[in-house]
Amino acid sequence: MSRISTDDADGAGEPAKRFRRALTFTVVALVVLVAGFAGLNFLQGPKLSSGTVDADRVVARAGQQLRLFANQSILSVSKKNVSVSPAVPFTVSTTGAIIAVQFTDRLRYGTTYSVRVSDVANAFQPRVSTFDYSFTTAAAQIYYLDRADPAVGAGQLDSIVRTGLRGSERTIIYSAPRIQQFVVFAQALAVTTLADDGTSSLSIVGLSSKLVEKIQLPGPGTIDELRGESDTGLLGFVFTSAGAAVSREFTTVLMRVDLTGVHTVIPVPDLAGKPLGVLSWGFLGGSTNIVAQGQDQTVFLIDAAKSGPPVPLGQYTGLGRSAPDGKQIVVSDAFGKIAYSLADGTQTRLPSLPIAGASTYGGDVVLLDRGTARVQQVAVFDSAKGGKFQSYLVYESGTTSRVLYQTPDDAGSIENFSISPNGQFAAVNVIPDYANSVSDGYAVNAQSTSISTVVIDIASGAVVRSVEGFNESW
Amino acid sequence: MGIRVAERERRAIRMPTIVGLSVGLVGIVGVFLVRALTPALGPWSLPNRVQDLLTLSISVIIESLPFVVLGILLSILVQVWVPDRWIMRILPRNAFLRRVTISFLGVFLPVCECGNVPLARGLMVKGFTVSESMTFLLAAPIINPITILTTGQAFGFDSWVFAARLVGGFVIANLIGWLYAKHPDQDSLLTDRFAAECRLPDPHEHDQTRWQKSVELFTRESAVIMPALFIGSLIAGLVQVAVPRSVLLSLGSNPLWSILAMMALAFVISVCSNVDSFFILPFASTFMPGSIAVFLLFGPIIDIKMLTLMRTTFRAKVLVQLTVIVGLLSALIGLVVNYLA
Amino acid sequence: MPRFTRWQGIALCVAALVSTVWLAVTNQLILYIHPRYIVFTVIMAALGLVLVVASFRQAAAHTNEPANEHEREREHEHELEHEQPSSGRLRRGITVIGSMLTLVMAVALVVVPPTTLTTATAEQRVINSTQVGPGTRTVDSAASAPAGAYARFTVLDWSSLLRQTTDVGFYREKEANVVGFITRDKDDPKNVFYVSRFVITCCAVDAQPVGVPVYLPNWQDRFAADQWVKVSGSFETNPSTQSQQSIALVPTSTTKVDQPSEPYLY
Repeated sequence: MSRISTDDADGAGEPAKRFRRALTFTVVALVVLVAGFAGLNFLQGPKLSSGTVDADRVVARAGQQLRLFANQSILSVSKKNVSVSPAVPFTVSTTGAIIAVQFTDRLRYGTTYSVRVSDVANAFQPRVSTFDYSFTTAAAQIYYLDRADPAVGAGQLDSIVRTGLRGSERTIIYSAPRIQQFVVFAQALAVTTLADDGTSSLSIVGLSSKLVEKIQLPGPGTIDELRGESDTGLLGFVFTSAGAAVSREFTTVLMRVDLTGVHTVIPVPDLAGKPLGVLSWGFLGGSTNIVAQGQDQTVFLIDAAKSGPPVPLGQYTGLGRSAPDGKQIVVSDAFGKIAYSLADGTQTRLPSLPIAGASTYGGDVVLLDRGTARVQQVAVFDSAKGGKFQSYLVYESGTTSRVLYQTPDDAGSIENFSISPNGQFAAVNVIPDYANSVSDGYAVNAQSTSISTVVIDIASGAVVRSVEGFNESW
Repeated sequence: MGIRVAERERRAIRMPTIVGLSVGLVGIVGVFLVRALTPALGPWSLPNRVQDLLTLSISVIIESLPFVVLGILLSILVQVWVPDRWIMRILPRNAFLRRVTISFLGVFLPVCECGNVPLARGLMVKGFTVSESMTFLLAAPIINPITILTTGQAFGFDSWVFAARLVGGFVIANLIGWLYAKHPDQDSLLTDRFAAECRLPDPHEHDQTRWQKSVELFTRESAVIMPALFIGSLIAGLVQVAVPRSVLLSLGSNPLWSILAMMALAFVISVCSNVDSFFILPFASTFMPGSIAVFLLFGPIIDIKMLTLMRTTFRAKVLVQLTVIVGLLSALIGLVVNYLA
Repeated sequence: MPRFTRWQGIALCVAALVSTVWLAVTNQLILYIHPRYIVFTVIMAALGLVLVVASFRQAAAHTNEPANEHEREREHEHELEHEQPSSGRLRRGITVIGSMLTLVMAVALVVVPPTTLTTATAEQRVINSTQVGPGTRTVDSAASAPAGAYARFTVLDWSSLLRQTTDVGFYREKEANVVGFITRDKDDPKNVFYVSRFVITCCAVDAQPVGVPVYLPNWQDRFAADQWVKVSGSFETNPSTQSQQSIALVPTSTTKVDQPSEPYLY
């Protein structure tokens, strides 16, 4: 503007020049600094600003993601530039500044995984960088039922205990007289207890609040096969009304309770819409789907979240357990166990492999994630020890078989077993000395007073923990 | 002059006052009625873009208006109600320390940048040098309790962005203050109209009550600020409708371009410093922390609305210099943060 | 001060302040600003109006007599300083254009019925281009929410969840029930639209469009863009092959609804 120049000419020349010089100097200095730091930034590759992974879900569910956030948008990362140790199968996708490493399987408990992504590049800059991220998955913990010894005296409380697999710390979560069964949900326990007349009652106990809510049952009766699906908050059990068999309203009817909604007990309907009586049943992992075997041996697939008739899958002599991912179930016919794929209905026989040349008779099977790798309880006829059946827990890859557990001196009995959701551990309920075992005499789900649960690392076969109790819940 | 004024005063109390008041009230009621009745004429099927342009521009006006009113009120307070000596006395004599103190004045006068322009004008009339009021104008929107609180809430009080914003705002304001203090003819930085206003003693110094002076000041300030606000908001709305956001976002990931993109966004968006942290927070994932800091530094000082408002007071040349220096300095701070963070 | 300028300032104040008060009275201020500023805005508008009325009184006194000496002096000075013949016309032209623009804005402020932003802005600002702000759903909080809560999740909740995880298992058995306006998906406009809302942190200027992709083949047969709809359904792997969204809401019901009284989310 003209005025300033006029002023300058007017004799304020020297100070004006000084101002101009200061202005120029400032601008030049700033330009130089900006250029310098721009250069430094240009030569610096992308940086990892943060990463997120759910340490709990990653062991409980397959297909979980580790998301690495770069400080800027990056070019798509190829899988060969990503390494995970300990090695597990994974896939990689890149969107904007986020690298998502999706783990195909559940990860191992309490394990530190290191992920390295090399050659991370930005579209604009020449430099590449390497991202390193490591995280530790949640340690395994189990809940189990420790019943009081009736020999000690009446009025003792049974306890539901939580413990880790390392150390010997145990926390009593809930105690009550005559606990029959329980299942663990994310924020609550569902517990069934027995009254003196042999009827069951069902309560929901808040894990942190400890509030006890009694669930109204459809009349007096007994509950058995209590199961829960933590992800969807569904609870189910088999209910039989009290009284003489002819006058019962419900006989081994499958009931369900939606813990995320109104806590009412609803019978699961059969094809005709009547309450479905079952021989055996179970949830499919991570879903609202139920498989149940009706009284006529028909196996049904039922979506508990939708009303609608069940889908019959065929008649089998037995219904086993479903795989942890809920994609396969085990059924049996006259010739043995069969893996039944729910996706396409294909059936694969699961022959019991011989152990050390001796033929085996297959019992309960749990399929591990994919294929027919499984953990199975088998009985081996042992002619050497006077013609006795020995029970073993074995790992079968499909072609080979390996004994995971046998009772000490083969004197005990394997009552039941379960597999951790990530397939890392097996928990075996053992009565160590079967001949001298004493029952606690509960009207339903009676158990030996000497029952203990042994946790075994399936990969190594090592025993990692042993606790007094049973009915473990992962 | 005394006689004339006395006569005017006498007349003012009679007819014109009543006429003025009634015309004013009738006008206000009339506008209110028009406003209340037009929606009943049914939805105007304006094209979406025109509709959004109006919505956005009106939104800028409605959002800024209370801050402008507050700014004018504080300006009136400083000019009319606070004795001259108060402010001048608490300030140190040393020019540098004085500017440092002035940059913290915003803590007591928490107005965002749109309210700051009338306030800074008031301070200049009150005796601040131009460079000192510039320091105030640039520092106060950032170093004031509301902005500090909202920025901290949005980004965390220990974040790079928070530190960069406060320190950066202080540095920028004092650098500019230092620079323009060197200017030999401070008045020549101002528009002629405003310089004249500052030079002349208040025309009604002796014959008006403080209330009258306050009202007079309100009239004067709103005559200057309101058109600038209206035009600024219209331009801000226009640019927002015209420039696709995806252009800015695609630049966001590059450490260099994102700085420029954020400056452009800050320039265009023209939100007040009190709330801009919450506005920019959602971009924090796309943009680098330095770029966010640039947005928070550059935006309160230089944007479309602000430039229009400042143009009421400063010459265009000064505003260009200001824009260049503030732009460079905030870019530098952003680059440093990007490099280190 | 020139009379015109003086009256222009007051007139603009009247337009802006009266509109603000009317919007507040009719509860439509939320179309322009975040609810937390309403009280402040109304108080300031009331103070402003008081000053406007007071200035009418004084300004009337001014106009009623010849402009006082100082003003004349200033105007004179003004002209002296600037009037170089060539730039003078340009300057005056700019002033006239400026006055016209302010007049247009003032008229718009008083006359045009207030509305929300439209799809034009939603598309121009790129849906879901920003990340979750404070107070939005995180996967952790959502995973532990009771089932009934999902029905109350808004478009903002779902879109921030979708941004955090695309694990279909997470969305299983989580029924969504959302209200928003339709914005077409750029990649597959035939089968996919977004049920979208604007999220406001301060005022309409900073409105960020968020949206949940909905897979509804040939939706344009039943709905138009900008239509407010209520969509219920569940999230599934997006059946659309063109759309870039990996997960979409597959509706069990989609119905037209009126624009809610609070069209923006906060």
